[in-house]
Amino acid sequence: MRAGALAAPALLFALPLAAALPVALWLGLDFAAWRGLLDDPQLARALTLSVLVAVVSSSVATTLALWLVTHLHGTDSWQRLVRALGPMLALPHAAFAIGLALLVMPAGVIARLLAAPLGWTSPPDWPTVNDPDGLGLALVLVAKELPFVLWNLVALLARPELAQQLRGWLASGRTLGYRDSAIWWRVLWPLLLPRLAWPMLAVLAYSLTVVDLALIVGPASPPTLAVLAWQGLQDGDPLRNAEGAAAAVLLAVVLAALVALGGLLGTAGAQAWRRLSTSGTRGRALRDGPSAAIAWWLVLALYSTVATLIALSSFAGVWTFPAIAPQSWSAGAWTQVRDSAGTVALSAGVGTFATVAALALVLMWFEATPPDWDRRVMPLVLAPLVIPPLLMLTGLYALALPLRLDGTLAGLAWAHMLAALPYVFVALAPAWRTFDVRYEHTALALGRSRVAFWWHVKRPLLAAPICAALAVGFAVSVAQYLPTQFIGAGRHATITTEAVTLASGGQRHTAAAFAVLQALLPAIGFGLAAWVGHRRRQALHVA
Amino acid sequence: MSLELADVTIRVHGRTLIDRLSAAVAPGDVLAVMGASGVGKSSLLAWVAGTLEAPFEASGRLTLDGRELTSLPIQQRRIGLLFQDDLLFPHMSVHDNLLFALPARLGPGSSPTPASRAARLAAADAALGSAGLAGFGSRLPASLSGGQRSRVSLLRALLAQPLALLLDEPFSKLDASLRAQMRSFTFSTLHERRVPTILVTHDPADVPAGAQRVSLDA
Repeated sequence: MRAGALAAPALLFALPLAAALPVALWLGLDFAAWRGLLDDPQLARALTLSVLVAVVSSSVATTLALWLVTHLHGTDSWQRLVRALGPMLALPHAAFAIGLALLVMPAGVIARLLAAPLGWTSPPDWPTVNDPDGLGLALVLVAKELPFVLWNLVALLARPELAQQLRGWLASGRTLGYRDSAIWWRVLWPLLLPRLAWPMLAVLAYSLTVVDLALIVGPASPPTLAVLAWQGLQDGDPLRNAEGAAAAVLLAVVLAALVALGGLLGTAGAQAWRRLSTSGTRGRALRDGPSAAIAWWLVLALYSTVATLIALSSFAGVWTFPAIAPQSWSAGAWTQVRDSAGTVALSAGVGTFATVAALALVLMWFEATPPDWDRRVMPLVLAPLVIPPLLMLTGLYALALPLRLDGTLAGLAWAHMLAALPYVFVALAPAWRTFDVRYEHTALALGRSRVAFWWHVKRPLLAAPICAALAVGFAVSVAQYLPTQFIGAGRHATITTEAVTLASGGQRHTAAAFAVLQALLPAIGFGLAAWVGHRRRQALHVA
Repeated sequence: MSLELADVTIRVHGRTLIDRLSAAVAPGDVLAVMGASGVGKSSLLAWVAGTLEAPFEASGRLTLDGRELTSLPIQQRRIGLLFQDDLLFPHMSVHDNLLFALPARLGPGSSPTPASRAARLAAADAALGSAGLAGFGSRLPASLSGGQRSRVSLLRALLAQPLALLLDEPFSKLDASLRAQMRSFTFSTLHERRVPTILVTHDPADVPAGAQRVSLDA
């Protein structure tokens, strides 16, 4: 029974992932390809850009998240922050990048607002989008990774055993004369940060290897290393193809080096931090000011503005600089979307199938294994988040070819399932694994079967977290770019591939319409999940 | 129906919690297992129920009226379980909780016949009436008081027609006045139905008069 239930997750998820990595590494170990890659005049700049953007954006996003939690945890703003994270995470990266570009690009809204007072008649020469130094890309990554890091911090701090300890540590620190922020920085973060290693690694890996965002707002000539690899892998020339695979391996090597360096710096920093923390000084006797709350409101304002701009731009007709509002409105972009109804249906269909399949595999795992096995498989489950997707997909594509899955809908759904499963797993594990086993013992002792218990008791009681996990998985699937292009072999267009193609081609209004859809589909999923959760809570708490 | 435990030994991580315990519980009688926390009281109940898992290791025999239960899965043992918490399914009404336990076939002795939903509801209502809970069938557990939930929980366990019952500190979360009331209700009901019962508790006041006592040492 147990082995049977584990066969499907092993065959459809674990084995392909475990096999893809060595296959990709093998494909990337081509001498001629490496020589070609190293001779590429764009390589040095692309590599430097990628490393700088990844390190700066992930460091800034993490530091900002820690600073916000330090100053907002336990205040009135905390619950508002927690509530806002869902919608912020639901906004797909590509849609956010399209909206942010509309805000900060030289002909964007900020420049238009400044044009009148400064007397500009043409867009300024701002290095904000597709700039050679990757500033626009770094900005998008910071803004989009911030809620992800915060979400992980919130989940960590909400654990009942930790929440209680936290109150005790803060109380102890206060009695010793430290301000709350000093206690956080000197005691709590050094204690908690090691537990955030996986999310921080995921942020760094994503920032280093992202392709779709880099195509929309990143530098073009030379592009980032990930885009360089992607261009090679897409090329019809086998040598360029092999160079792309080599670049994907190089990305993995760079990531490993950054992680090792981060580990060394972390160890050295921890010692210095310990000296500072135990210096006996209590820090400045200032009250923790409202700056964090203001900063959080600014982040919320940025997200709201971006969402509004996408919607506005999708209906814009003529909108010349420096007009603040469009001079005419048009439904042209939406007409194009309507003509691409198949694209929307494909995104929704593949997303639904991939997410339900991922959920089924995750439930098989949960039902067949004890909770402490999760820790053992976590590296494999999280592999799609921390291994450069280009590398992983190179291997998966090579595996899909003999199985004739490339370019097929089944292959596409499978690739999306691989991407969605880690999120479904992480989203569902806390509720599933802490479900009181005595309910099951009680039901079985009443003479009912495990199936009856599962259907009549466990499923309805866990309906809210199941729906939330489905919504997360669906959002992840809808946002997939590389798996769609890779395993779909470019034969299937989804909302995301359309949005990225249009945005990188400069068709901003139509791209905005697709971005609205890209945001809308997951929002519907999250809305349904929230509705189910609300109904379940209502059903369980009778006045 | 007599419940018998023979030479029960339970170990965990090389430590022996229970060493060759033997006991027999006659119909309607109570075996009270007492001792401090961590001595193996709940592990013993889990072994009798069939829910003891690794890292615990157990040996011994469990029989009910001579029928060997030791290797049967929990759902085939027909041994009811009651914990500190009532564990009523919170999304189900009181009726549905009871119907979940009530067999599909009702009737006396060894020849029960398939029962209609109306007949099963009538049986559930009769049980509720016997516990002073008439009219509570459509309520959700969250709308009941602690004592009412405990009574429904006991009724649910009994409606499954268990051949024995295991009570794991079932009164420890009730306040003092409710405890006395629930003790009286529980043990009189079990005595009346002649269900052999094993009670685990650290409170001597929970043990009914005339019960056998086994004290486990640390």
